[in-house]
Amino acid sequence: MSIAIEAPRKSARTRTLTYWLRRYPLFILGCAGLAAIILLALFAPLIATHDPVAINPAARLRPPSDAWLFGSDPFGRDVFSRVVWGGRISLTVGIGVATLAVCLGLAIGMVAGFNRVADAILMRIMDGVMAIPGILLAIALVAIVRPSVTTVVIAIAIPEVPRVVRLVRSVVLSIREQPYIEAARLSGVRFPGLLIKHVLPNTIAPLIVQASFVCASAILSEAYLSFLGLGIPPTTPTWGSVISEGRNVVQLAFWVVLYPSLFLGATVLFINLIGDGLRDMLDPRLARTL
Amino acid sequence: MLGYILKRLLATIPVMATVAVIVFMLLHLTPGDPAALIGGDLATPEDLRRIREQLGLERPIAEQFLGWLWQVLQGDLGTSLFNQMPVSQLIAQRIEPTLIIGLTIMTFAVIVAIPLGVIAAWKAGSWIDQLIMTLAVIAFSMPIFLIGYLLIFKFSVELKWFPVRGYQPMSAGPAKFFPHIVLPSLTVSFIYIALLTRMTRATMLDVLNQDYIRTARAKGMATTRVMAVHALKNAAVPIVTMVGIGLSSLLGGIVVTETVFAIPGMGRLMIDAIVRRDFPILQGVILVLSALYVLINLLIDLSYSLFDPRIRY
Repeated sequence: MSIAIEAPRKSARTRTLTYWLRRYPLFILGCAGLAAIILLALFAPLIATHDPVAINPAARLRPPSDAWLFGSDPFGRDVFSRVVWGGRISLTVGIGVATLAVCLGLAIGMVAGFNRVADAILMRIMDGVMAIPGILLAIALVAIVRPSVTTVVIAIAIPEVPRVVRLVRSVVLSIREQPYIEAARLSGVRFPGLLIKHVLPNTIAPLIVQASFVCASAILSEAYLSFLGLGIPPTTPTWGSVISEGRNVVQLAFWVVLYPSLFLGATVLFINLIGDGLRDMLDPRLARTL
Repeated sequence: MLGYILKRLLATIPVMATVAVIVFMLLHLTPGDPAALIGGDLATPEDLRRIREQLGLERPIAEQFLGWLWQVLQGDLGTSLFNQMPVSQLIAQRIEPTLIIGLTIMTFAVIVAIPLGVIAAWKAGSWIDQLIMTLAVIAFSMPIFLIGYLLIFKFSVELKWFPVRGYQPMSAGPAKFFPHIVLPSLTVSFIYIALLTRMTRATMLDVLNQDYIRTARAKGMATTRVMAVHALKNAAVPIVTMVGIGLSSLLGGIVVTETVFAIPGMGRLMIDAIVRRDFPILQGVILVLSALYVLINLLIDLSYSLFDPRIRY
């Protein structure tokens, strides 16, 4: 009697790009697209064809051509160069907000999950923050400070914190009573160590997914703030401020609004696709449902 | 039922109190003198003294807060620093477009998104599901002004079906009023529809895995009837909850849209107020819109028993 021995199945390590492409096509598209945008922003000085802030009254509102790839704005500045440079701000804000909101949310959520008194107080505050529509709170916060990249990041991050807190808290609550936490406690693991070694790892997967969605919505929020004239000072090119300057000439020169909007939309889309893909991979229970 | 309503009403008090503290503290959170913040860089000492006096900034902060809260509870949201009009009156003048557009979007989005989500869940994994979900993630990612300006170009500039911008109040008659709200409502709808479609699909997939659905199918019930009667009814509560939660991004979207279409709503009122450093208006608008959000979510909470007879108060 012969025993058929199956060839070992390919391990994750040896999976080829075609495997990933077939299984998560949109995720790969998101990664590739975002990588392209990041490269564009990183190498902005090399890629931009003009000085993004040089005003040239003689070349106002030129339509797109070989010399002006995306046309020029009402001040005669090159829209293509401003879009390329503006990507830096958008990506910085997106990453900054995601990092800040996740760190704050993680800290508050852990405390709320482990301390009943703090929980009652903190969650009431979070409910209050969540009752204020996010953009409105961000608008109000930038209105009371001098807008800069830092203050805009803080203003956009604060409304995002409660959702992260809720996520972390729910994870903490569900594992707090697990036997392995009790075992760790009994074996003398003290509080900070307990949180960092045994609780934190459980929050990482859902937090990564959440961070990508926060990043996407932060990039949109930054553009909305600049569009409303409240964001980062207009001397710095950002996608939102380029669009804002095209607002009043949109019927004459749609290119000033169109190209930065397309870049903005594409970037947000790529990040959302990455987020969806990450959720499918990290949370098989939710895979293919949401 | 009455007891439950009362309990839920009481539960909104801490939420609204927190909102009130945050809105009040806006002026006091920044380092430095709130009067200088309002006055801006060009304020003379005389201006600063006048602002301090009008806002009562000389008093201790707790006293200021309680005084302000007492006024707000009586419906007095303060006075505009710019034109000395009561903030509540200014908001009353501007609330119509914001409310109407919001309600239009909610109705339209529910009508479109729920069938889309049901179809996607029903045909889960098929090309139609993938198409709907891909369109949803795209709609969810598009900046509001991109959608807005594309709609303006197609339907206002090219086809001339709708006015490019502006607003006519309802009192001007439906023929004048209606064309002005179509495009702004449509603009914000995309995000809201995407949100609701994704949520409907996820909830429906959950429900479709239940035993009673298999029973209904096994006894030969038509698929449409299984979907509408058995599945959708059981998925209603989470979907309706999402309608309420999504309202937050909806209100934010309307604020941006009002600028795209030059609509004199609450969003424009707030942005113009910020440019003039008229902080009582900013505080008033945020308070009113947050209260609206809390109120609608309360109503949604109370409506659960309509959708699910197991929920009894």
